[in-house]
Amino acid sequence: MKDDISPKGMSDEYKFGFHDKEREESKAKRGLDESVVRMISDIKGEPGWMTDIRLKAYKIFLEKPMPTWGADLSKINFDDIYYYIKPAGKTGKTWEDVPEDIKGTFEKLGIPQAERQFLAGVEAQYDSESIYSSLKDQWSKLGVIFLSTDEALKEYPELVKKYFATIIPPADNKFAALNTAVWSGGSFVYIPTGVTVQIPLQAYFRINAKSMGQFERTLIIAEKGASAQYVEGCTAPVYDEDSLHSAVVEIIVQENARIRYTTIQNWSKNVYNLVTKRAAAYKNATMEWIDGNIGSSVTMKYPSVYLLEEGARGEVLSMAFASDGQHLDTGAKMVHLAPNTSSIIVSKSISKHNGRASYRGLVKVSKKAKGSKVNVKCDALLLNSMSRSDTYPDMQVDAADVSVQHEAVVSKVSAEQLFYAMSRGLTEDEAMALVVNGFVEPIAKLLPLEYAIELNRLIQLEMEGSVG
Amino acid sequence: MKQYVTLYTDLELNTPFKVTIENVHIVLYKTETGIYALADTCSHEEYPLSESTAIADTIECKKHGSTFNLTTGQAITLPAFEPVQTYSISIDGDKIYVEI
Repeated sequence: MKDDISPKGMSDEYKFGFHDKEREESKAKRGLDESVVRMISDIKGEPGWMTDIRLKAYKIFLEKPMPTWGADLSKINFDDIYYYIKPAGKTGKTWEDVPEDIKGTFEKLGIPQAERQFLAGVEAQYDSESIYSSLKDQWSKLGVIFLSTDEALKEYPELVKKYFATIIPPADNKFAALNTAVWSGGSFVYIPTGVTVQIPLQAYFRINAKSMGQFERTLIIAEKGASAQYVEGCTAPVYDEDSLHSAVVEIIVQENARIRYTTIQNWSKNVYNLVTKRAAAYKNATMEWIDGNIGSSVTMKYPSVYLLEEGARGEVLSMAFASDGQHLDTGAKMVHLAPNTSSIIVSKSISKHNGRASYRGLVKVSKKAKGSKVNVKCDALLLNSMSRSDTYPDMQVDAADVSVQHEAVVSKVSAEQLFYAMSRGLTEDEAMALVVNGFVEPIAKLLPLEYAIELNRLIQLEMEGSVG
Repeated sequence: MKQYVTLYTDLELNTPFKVTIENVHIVLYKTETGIYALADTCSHEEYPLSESTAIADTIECKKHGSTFNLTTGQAITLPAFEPVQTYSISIDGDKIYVEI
């Protein structure tokens, strides 16, 4: 293997970089002020309490300083962003209801076909609004709710009010405040007591407009003994102006319930992806985050689980592939607050050319969390000598009778590995891709089959021209 | 120990009133639902709760948005999860006392 790699033949082909002609019904002016916040709330016809939360969050957003840690966010120009764009047309319950051009976009992305074949329900968001949501009858008959959060606020206002911002309050951080002020779309999922949704619910988020800010708000509630898997994907066109994606995801996993939340993040490389994701897990509940990050120029995302009652279990499996110009600052947070809770964090990062991948994690074990177990494993793979990987683990253990393990490995692809694969007839690119796919296999194998194939294919694309 | 802290008329609605008793920092709030006394420290990252404004029987820490019940001190929203210490209040005429 050559030590350093020229960008010769570098493909970075991004097949989702196309865009439709903008055809909006409502569009806020560039920049953010109180009138934009009120406009969003007015268009949606929201109850007064939600408008009040938005306005309060807007003030918090103004007061909070930008983070001084993590990735460089200094180039974000909040005055240059469109905070709300509603595409023409209304939310469809069938694909026939969706406007032709938008339908064309999602068909290119394979969404309707995936729904027919693999999914219990689908929600598709285009810029600020959900343009399609559907849940198969067999699940709605059992009381499962799967709607955009806007629709849920109209149809189940008390349920939304009970849980909204209880896991991530607006003051949690600057971007949570921004999201709370201007949120639009996102998924609302409610799984009643004892119901298991065996096949995934999927949401697909697409940014189409230039200088767009997408601020979806997702709220998932799994009642006692319920179980579901939610999968989200995201893409955007390639523009010369940056876009901002700042989502908030709140999850409540009640006693003996289980939620697996899977993300395949493939934003174009002009998107700032600054997301807050947090779950509260109660007695013997299980929360799993599976987080694949391929795209975006900057990602800061640290899915967390608060293990609130005895026997709760949290898991974060995170994969980041940082190519040229990307800084993917990802990680996890596990807070053990009750006895016999357990958590696993597995972080796999790959850095190519001058890409930078960082693991940033916090594990906190409180005095009450006797008998708890923690296992943290961070593996970083550097493909070139100018690639960069950073690890920032923080372990705070206040209980005596606990087991805490942390392991971190940084490695380069070895010449022997490549030689072995090439001696079997693979090209150097193919050999490198094989090594990388093997590296992420522990995470890929947990994905639904079609997502695992897509992840491998995306890695294959990223690997083209990585050796030369 | 019962300690005189202030006059009822000195408390402004929803506005923090800070006192220190036996080296314990306490904040009092008069809201539309009553008068409350609690430790002036958020249980999440020890930020002073007296920087915040109370509404009815709750207070929201300004730092990260955790909300606490003023009567029980229980955390209502994450990221805080531990309760905040609360103290009994008694009123004698116009005088307010805190029990610590």
